[in-house]
Amino acid sequence: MRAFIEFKDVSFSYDVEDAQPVPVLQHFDLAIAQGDFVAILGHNGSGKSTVAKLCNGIEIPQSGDVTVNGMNTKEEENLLEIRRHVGMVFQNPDNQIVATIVEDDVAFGPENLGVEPAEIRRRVDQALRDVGMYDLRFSEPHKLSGGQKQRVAIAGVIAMQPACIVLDEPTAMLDPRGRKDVMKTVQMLNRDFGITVLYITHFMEEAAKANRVVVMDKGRILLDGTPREVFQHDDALRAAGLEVPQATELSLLLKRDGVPLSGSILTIEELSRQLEELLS
Amino acid sequence: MKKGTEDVLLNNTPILSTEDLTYIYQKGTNSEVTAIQDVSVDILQGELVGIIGHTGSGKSTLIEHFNALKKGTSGRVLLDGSDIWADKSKIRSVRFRVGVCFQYPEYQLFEETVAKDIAFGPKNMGLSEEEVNRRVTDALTYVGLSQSYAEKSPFDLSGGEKRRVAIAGIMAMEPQVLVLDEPCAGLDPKGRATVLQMIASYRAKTGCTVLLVSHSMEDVAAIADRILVMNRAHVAFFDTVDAVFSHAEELQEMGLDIPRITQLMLSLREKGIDVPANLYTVQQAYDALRPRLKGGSRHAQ
Amino acid sequence: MLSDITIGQYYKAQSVVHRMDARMKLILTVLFIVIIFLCKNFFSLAVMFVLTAVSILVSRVPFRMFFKSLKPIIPIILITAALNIFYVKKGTELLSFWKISVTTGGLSTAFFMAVRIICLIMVSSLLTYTTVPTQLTDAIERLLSPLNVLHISVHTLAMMMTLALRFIPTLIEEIERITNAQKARGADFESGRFLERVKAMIPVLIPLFVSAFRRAYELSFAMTCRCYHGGEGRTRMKQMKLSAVDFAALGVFLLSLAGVIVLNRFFQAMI
Repeated sequence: MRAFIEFKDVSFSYDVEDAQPVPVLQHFDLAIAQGDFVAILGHNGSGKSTVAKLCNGIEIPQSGDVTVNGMNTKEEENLLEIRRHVGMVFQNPDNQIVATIVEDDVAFGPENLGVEPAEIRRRVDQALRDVGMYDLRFSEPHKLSGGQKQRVAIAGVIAMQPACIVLDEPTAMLDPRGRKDVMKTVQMLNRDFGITVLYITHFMEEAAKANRVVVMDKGRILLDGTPREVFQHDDALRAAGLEVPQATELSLLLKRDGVPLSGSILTIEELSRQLEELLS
Repeated sequence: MKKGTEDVLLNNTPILSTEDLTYIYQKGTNSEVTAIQDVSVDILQGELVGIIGHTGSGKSTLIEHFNALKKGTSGRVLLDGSDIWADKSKIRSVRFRVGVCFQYPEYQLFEETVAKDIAFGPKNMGLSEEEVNRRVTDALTYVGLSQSYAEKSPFDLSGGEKRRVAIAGIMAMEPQVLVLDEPCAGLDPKGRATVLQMIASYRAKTGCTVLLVSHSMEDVAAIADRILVMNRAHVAFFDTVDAVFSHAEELQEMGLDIPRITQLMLSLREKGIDVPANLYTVQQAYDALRPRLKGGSRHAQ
Repeated sequence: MLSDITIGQYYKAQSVVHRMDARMKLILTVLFIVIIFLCKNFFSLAVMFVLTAVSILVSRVPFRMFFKSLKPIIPIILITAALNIFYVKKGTELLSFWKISVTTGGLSTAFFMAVRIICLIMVSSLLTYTTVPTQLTDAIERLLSPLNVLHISVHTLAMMMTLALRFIPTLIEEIERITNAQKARGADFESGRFLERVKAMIPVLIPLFVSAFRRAYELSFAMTCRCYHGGEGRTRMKQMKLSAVDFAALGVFLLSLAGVIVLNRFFQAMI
């Protein structure tokens, strides 16, 4: 698979008034393959949100290059095209909805792109059906739950028909039910539409559902691999202010005592199956 | 039952109680919504109660009654045995005795320095300057921030630090009952662990009664003495952790989870393996399973 | 529940008036205001009164809604009426005491003015009851678009109005949230003198502004990410289309205008 988004030797720091700029990323390399589902884990301040903002040219690296589908984010004339390809969903659902009616909000992106009205209508209806919000298309956003608002935000992105969607802690402010709905929607977009997903989170159970997990610490990549590989490194993760899924944690404790559990375990079901054999 | 829980429950003097408390939004209009109905609970002196329930179950409305931000449509709230609405002029003093820390409390910070912000509550109580200063110093310690934070601007802190300063602002009032509405929401794992630890150590030091609203069943199971489950404006369960999580099916029907470790134990029991169901943490599961599993000899029994 | 706030005063119903193009409704409202000021006697005013009544009936918005919007205006109506009664001296004198006299002319002028104001309020409420706020801002944007020639960015203004409408409920909720949080810390908003009360608002206002700026900042990011780059090259999903109903309504209003002009000429002017 070819890389859809590529970070090459990227360094980025924030300017601070009357002080030294704060370095966030240093010589950072990352390639996101087309169609992949990549989770980025990291504690607050590890630089993971900056990665999101670099993906569509909201921030521009001080050195190095970020390319999207071969287009460099440094070139102003690429930006509109890049943003059409890479949609963004942020943490706070309230602060990304612009219209007072759900369907009008979903139409906002295509309208900005100058899409024909009839085509916008078609895309808006489809996007709302895809995220399961069609029945609430005439609602006022402030009357929706957090999870519903976040799904409206996702519909607003897919109505732009992007190749990739970057979600920056989309479930951090939601209740468990909203979290599940959002995660299911994102998995569906990846699986059924082949949309590349970059999912930033600090919920381990969510990251475990990705194809690939990138763990960031102090602006660098600490671990990178499939969830099964990454979550084996429980000590490194804890040192980086993170944790591992509880099923993995328990299996690692038992394995270290020589209990013959095979493979790396991610879910409660997997652990239960293996323990059943050992205990009966 | 966890250590200390028995002591707390034996010493059963209620500090905060509700009697048939009902609250109806927009009463008398055609868009009436019953937020809580006939809630009667006794919160005991010194216990830690976890409050769970999905969004809209009424738990937030219930909390607002505990410190008189809302007045029940019917029913009473008793603090130390007396009706909090008996004397309206004393409502503010109720708020000092039942300290409520709402969701995302960092958005209430407003002063130039951390110390001044923490002092807002104690100053409103009319305490002497010395007493206010002592409480600010103590509160910073409770939330694990060094005294060097006192003169910083709260707006320059990280998200997790702001959260701790805001919680310190409530702790500084030294309430008899501390109510925290999802104090860990939006924090990363380390931040969540820090806040939970902070609450546990504050409680150990002050003996304060704590009510903790949380969506994390793992957190609640690990630190609560009893759990209050709200469902559709009613109290579904109010019992010890073990008793509440023994109703796994009912909880799942209400759209609530049970702790993952408990799920593991229940699935093993379903398969006919005799393991205890009332386990909630990785450590508990490890301690229970390890002796029964053959394997290496490092910790073999 | 605060999340029940409805933006503007839109009243949901299925009616011809609700279905009309917002631009036409806006134009007709302005036209109505012009015509009612052209009325010179009770006959022409009666035409407009009937037009108002018919519009309300067709809209299926219950009358109590109109009474609600009329309520705050009642003092103004009463004061205007009183001024007219006491200052207009025409026709026969009905009673007089001290320096004040009440005449038949005064009474009828007062009545005339009151009816005029009431019709005005009713028709403008009708516009807001039957039109979603965003449709109104859209209509304003489209009607004023010729002003773009004068380098006035009508689109920007309309976008600002839309965003304001979108965030009013959010900010109201935020005010309640912060107020509750500070009350929980013993803030006292109810007692004290004026200055003390203003000072007591500081713990609410500062967090509110901090949060409003944060929201604005995040919103601008989100809008940029969704390819917003001003009004240029932008299309709209909802096209405004004039239908037969709109032209029929325009016809009725123009007929009323003609009627008013004719009746003004044939009958004696009152004012």
